[in-house]
Order: sequence, then C-alpha cells, then structure tokens
Amino acid sequence: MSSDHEVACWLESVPLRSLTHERERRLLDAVRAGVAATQQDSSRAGLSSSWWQAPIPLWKAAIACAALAAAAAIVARRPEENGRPTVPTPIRIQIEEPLVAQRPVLRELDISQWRPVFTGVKE
Amino acid sequence: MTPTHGEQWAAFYQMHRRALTAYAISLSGNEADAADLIQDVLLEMCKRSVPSSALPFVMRSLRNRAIDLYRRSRGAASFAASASLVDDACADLAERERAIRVREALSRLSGEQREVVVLKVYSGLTFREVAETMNCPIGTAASHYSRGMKRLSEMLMPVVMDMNAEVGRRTPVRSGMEDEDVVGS
Repeated sequence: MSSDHEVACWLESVPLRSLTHERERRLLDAVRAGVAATQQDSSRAGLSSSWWQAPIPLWKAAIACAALAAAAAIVARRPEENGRPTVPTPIRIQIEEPLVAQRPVLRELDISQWRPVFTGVKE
Repeated sequence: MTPTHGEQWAAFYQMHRRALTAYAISLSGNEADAADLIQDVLLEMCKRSVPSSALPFVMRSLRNRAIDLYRRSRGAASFAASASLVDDACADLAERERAIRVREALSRLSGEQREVVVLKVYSGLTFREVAETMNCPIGTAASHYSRGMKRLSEMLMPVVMDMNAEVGRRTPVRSGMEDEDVVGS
C-alpha cells in the first residue's frame, strides 16, 4: 500500500450507509411533484393548497368588485355634496403692528392654516 | 414531449445518487437528515433546468444548506464533514472490522482533509469539482487530499497488513499443480 491510489481503493471497498428505498422513492416523488406545482401545471386546481393560489368563486369576485366600485363612487363625490368644506374657512384676526409703536397699524391675518408648535420643552 | 424540470432533476439524482448521498450523510450525520437535505436542495433547483455541469453546484448547495442548518445547532463548533457515512454495522465480521478501522481513521483527520477525502473517494469528484464545492483553490484541495491520504496510509497500513496476513492464514493459496492433481485423481 504505497500510493494514494491503493489507499483510496481500500477506502472505497468499505460499505457505506445509504438511503432506504422508501425514503429514496419519496424523495424522487417530491422532486418530480415540486416542479409540477411551480411549472405550467400550477393553473390546475387542487395541486396547491396555498390560499393565494386558490381559485376565487365568481360570486365572491362580483361582490368584491361591486363593493370596490361603491367605495370609489363615494370617495369621488364632490365634497360639498358630502358635507365637507372644499376650502378651509378663513379665521381673520387683527393685530397691532408694531406692538410697541406710538401709532400702531392694524394688520389683518388669516390664521386658519396655523398649527400649534411644540418645542419639546416641558415646564 | 420534453421532461419537466422535476423529472430532469430526478434523473440527475439517480445518475449521481452515490455522490450525493455519501456527501449528504457525511454532512448531516444520518440518513434521514441527509434525505431531507438532498430533497430541500433539489426542490430549490427545480426552479430551473439542469445545467451542463450541475454536480459541483449541487454539492456546494448541499454544503451551504448543511452549514445553515447545523451550524446553529452545533453552536460555535467548526463545521466539517463527519466519518459517519461508513457503515460499520454490516453482518460480515471482517467487513465490519475494516469499516470500523476506516471510520476511526477518517475521524482522526482534520475537517478539511476528511471533507476532501469524502468528496474525492466516495463522491468521485475531480479536484476542480472538489475546489468548487468547498469554495477553495484547487491547490488547497489537492494539498488537503495529499496530507489526508498520507495520514490515512500511516494509520491503515498496519491494519491492512494484519488483515491480509489473517486472510492468508484462513485461505491457503492453492497452486495450479494441486488443481491438476485433483483433476487427475
């Protein structure tokens, strides 16, 4: 036994563990079926149990379409008809400017679009 | 009618059954996990057709999958192919003895050496394919193999000589003259 080849031959001669016929058959079935589910056969009903691949009944599809259309129609109605204002009502105030002047001038402002400002400082 | 991808990969498995199962068992440590490992990898492969040189690619996928699965369960221990693919539970006493010796010798190699020996001897890969599987240069794979075989030779040489001597004692060599004598008588 002087060379790698001889050692290799001796190693090759020992028995090896292997899969049982039953497990091997299941493996092959799974591999064959794995493609059947992902390839051209996927349109056939019953091959896949995935809910997103299950066929939808026609009546369910019709109800879903009708509900969607109704919702779109409500949203698309004109805001006045819906009772909602189209333009925010202006809130006008008058302030004296400048505040410390001898003869202040009244200036009108619309504060309808103002928002509170938070500084993050707690008192 | 062209075969589906699944049928192609099933045929691929049947063609390379020995190489795939030997490596998968050495990676996972038992037949059941090896079957799951091969099935997972082949199902992943089924998304495409079988490429021209698929074996190293599949072997590497087996390795990566095994690392993903078993590294977590084995903690920080380094991952390497085991010597568990050798079946030392056979009925024949001499065969069992030989299997036990080989298994012991394989388990004494370093992880890389053992993996290369398994891939080369039991899976029948070339050095280029071994290097592709293990993601290392061809020279590194050849070096691991050479050192591994040297160590195996050192460990197994006395065993082989003993066993050959034992076999020689049990079955004395008969010469052609004896045969002629038997025929003549």
